[in-house]
Amino acid sequence: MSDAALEIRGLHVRFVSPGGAIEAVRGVDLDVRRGEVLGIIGESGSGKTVTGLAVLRLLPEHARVEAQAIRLLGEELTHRSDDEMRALRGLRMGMIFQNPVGAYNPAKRVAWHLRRIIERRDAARRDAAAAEPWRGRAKALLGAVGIPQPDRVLALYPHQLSGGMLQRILIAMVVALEPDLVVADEPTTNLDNIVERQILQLFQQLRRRLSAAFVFITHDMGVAHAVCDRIAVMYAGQVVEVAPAGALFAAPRHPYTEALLAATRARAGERLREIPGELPSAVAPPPGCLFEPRCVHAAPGCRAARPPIVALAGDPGGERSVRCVRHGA
Amino acid sequence: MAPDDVLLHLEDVVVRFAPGGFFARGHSFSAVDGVSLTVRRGEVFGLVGESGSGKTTVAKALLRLHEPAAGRILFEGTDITHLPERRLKPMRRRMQMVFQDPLASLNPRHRIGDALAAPLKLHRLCAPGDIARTVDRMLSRVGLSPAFKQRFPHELSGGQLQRAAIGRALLLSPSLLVADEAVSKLDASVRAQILNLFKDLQEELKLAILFITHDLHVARYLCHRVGVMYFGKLVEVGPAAAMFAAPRHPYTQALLGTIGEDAALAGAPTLPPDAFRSPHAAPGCRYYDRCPIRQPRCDQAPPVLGVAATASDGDRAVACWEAPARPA
Repeated sequence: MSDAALEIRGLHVRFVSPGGAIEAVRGVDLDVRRGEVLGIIGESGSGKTVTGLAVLRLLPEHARVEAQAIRLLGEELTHRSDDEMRALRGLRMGMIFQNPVGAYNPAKRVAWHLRRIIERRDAARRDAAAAEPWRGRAKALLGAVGIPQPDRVLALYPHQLSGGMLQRILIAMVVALEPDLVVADEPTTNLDNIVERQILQLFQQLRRRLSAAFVFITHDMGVAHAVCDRIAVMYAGQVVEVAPAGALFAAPRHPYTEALLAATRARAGERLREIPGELPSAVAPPPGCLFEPRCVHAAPGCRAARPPIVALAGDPGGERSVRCVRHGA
Repeated sequence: MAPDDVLLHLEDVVVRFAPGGFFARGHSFSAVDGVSLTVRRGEVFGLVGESGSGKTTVAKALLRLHEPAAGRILFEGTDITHLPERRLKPMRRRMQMVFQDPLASLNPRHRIGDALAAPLKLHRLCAPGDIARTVDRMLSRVGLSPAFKQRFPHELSGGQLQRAAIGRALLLSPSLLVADEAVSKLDASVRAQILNLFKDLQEELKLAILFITHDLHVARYLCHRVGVMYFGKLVEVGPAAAMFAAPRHPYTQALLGTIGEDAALAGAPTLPPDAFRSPHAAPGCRYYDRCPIRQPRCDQAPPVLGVAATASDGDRAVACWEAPARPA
């Protein structure tokens, strides 16, 4: 896909520990177009967060990252130094994490955070002189994310605000930054239902205002359905299925996707379908398909080799791919 | 409702927290403010609400981990509100708890087998020679092989730990199980296993469960009746199916509106973001600041649960001045 704003090719991440190397990400290929929200869904240990952090180069030092390519707007990121990446993150990459508190300097007021981003953005564009003063723009940004009394909020410290408010202000900062890539990792997981709904609505506003590539990482199928255009399902470090969101939820093709949906959705009077067993060991995974030990369709051939991810046979749009021997061209 | 149907009855329970510690200032506030509810024998009662609504505090009050400032708690017909510890112990056996984080509730140095045997010994519930067999039977009942007896908690996955915690609670043959966010930390595939385990055990043992959750899908799946809490008040109670089909309280409507089947965001009801006035400070309805159907009188006096319920609602009660006058 040549129109991709973010391209990930052959991404591998290993964590080396005394107990052995853990393969957290096993060869991920993904594309995200400009203005598109790509959801990465999966359970804990699936590698979804590690994939996002690897792109941002925010993994801890003991992580071994290998990738054929990670390109943002065609620009190769894998050869960049850590300093260059830090500068890029500050200017071209927006991040929204599960715990908004971590994104703030606890000793600084809200105004300081917004001012820094606005001024950095202006400096990069070299139009600081033409711009209106930062305070007015900061207030407008806060107003746009539904914060009452922006003047009062600008003077507050992070600890004086609720999680939902902090997440709102973080979204305002991403709007101010106007990045090329936005990575949101479980941005609503710690929030209450109603606040979660509000933040998701704001996220929809954000994507309309920015022409960035969005990666939205979540374990919550309902949230993914609500905000994502396309979805990649991860299991045990691999992408097992990629599809437009509507098609994925209407007709999941990988046995894991199918089982995951049945485990979270039950019609009235019906029983939730369980997925037997647990995630495979990250140290000594099974030889063939990683989902084979839990799969209801498992056949002897599934244990022979890791199935590749291939375009779904008979898919008219050519938008779907599946990692399963039962499907494919 | 026949009186012997009632297992647990809370009457106007108030739990107050005073700001403590060296830097203490300000006033005490009521985390639970006049909550009345009934859990019947053999039913799953879901207590839902957002963080800070007081649902966990209700559970801790009835387990007497918090002392209520006012009100009464009746369990199996006995008023346990201020029962001394000595007389509370046999009661405690009859109400067991399962927490969100099973790793934190199991001693890391005790093998699973010992963790399950300990309460049997403490309450002298079975002959010493029968303990091993009783533990084995319970482990297999919750889906763990006897080999797990030899393992330590850190060797178990989250789902296996929660199975062990449920097994330990059930060994004492409680009539009430209090489960506080017991599936919230589990991944989707494992959560389905544990929810189904709760469902099976409940039906088989005719167990009553007070199931506390913020997850509305879970409440709808597992609970017979549901109570919705908002800032320390119970705002609506009713059968789960009826409430999810047609919520009456405006807060319940907003809350349940977040789990629409289509999951579309466009038409969802929006609430103003958290206002600066603490709802605890309001003299009237605590939902007043955010309520779409508020009237002047709502800010004057708090609505009482049940007063507003119409007869046709039968088993349902709403704490709202306005909702009953409107079509559901």
